[in-house]
Amino acid sequence: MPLEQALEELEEVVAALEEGSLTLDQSLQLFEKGIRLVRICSQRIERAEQQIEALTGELPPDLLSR
Amino acid sequence: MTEIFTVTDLCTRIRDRLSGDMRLRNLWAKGELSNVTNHRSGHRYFTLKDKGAQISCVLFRSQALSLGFTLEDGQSVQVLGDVEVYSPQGRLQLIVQRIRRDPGFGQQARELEMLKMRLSAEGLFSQERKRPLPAFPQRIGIVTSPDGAALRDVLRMIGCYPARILISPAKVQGEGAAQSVAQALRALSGRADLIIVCRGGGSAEDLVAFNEECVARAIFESDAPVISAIGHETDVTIADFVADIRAPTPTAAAEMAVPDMQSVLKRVLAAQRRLLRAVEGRLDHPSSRIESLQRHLSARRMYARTERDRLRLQDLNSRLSEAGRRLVRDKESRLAMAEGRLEGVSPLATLRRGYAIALCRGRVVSRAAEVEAKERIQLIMQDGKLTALVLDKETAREDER
Repeated sequence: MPLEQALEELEEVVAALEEGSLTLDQSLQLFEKGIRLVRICSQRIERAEQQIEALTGELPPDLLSR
Repeated sequence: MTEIFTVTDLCTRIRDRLSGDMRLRNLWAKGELSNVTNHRSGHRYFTLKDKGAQISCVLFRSQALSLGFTLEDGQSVQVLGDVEVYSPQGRLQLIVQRIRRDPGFGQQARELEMLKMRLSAEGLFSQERKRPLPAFPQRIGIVTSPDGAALRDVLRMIGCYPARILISPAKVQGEGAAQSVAQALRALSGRADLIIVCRGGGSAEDLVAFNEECVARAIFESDAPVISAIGHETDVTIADFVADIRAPTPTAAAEMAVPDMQSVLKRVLAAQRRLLRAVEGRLDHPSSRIESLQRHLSARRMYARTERDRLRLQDLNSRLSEAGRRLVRDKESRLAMAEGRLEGVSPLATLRRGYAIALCRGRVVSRAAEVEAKERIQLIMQDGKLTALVLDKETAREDER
């Protein structure tokens, strides 16, 4: 799941929980989902996988080491 | 005996020689203005130059008055004047009588204006078609020279933002540059969520490719929004008018392209905080607690996992700037506090108060109906486990509950 989607879903979960009209069971279920989304977000930020490539030709040597 | 000149005699002799040459009088010369000085006497001093040479020029006050335009460095002009030796400085100079703008330059400016009008009429610059930039682009295309400083500036600013970065190399000045830029833009079709077209500063001549129609059309036809950053902040090209947004510099373009990871982290942490707070409130009602023991246990495990998340965030933290570091530390202390409070209402705390959790066939038992008589059940106490045999069972009728 991309960071943007995880972050948006997380904020929706939080808003639903804060609204408070759910049963305890539903709340805890949402809470678990929220915690999972927090993990996804922090993983996406932490791992920060970046890939640099050139469409044509070689990538200049100084950019290869990034 | 060899004649020995005084310096004055020498300069006089050179001057006489030059002034006797009618080809050096009343002549037209063309070049670019530089070092334009408006002296308070009303005289104008400047240097006329081209790629290989330069000559000092003077325009006296009386002629300067009828000039008709402001002299500026970089202007292409033609001047009419006489060559003269200025003896006090032993310098060759042109005494200018008239200056006019280079008609070639004027021609170029007119053509550029006409192209602008034509493209504008066609709607290429229209504000309505400007597209918003994606908040989190996953594929970023960069059209520029792979060897230029502009590309390095952009990559430095993008930093560690997680994305696939596609460099589409282009020749950004000289013969064929416009076609090369247009082709590099088209090569990114369907492959990028966002495109940055950039090149560093240069003379007006260096930026002409970005004033050409084929570049304007390629930007217009791009399926992804385009950020342009051409030359210095003061240079505005047709490419800038067509682009969805113009950035003053390549660095600024990159800043617009990607979200600040620190503020993203801040959002995640804020959501986490609110998440804990929202559930905390729910767990404060003891009546509902027993029924959700299983959920509680699962929630408890989630907390153990958030502990690992926190360690990871800590590590991430050390890679971000000091401001971000403070932010996370603050968050961590709040998270620890929230966890402490949740601990108070967690199932484990309940056990410490003398309750037991009943398990049957590996599941939490919350209703008598879930267990059969003669079945073995496990009772989890605060200090260990008991295995018990159900001797009898009596369930309350529906209407009594």
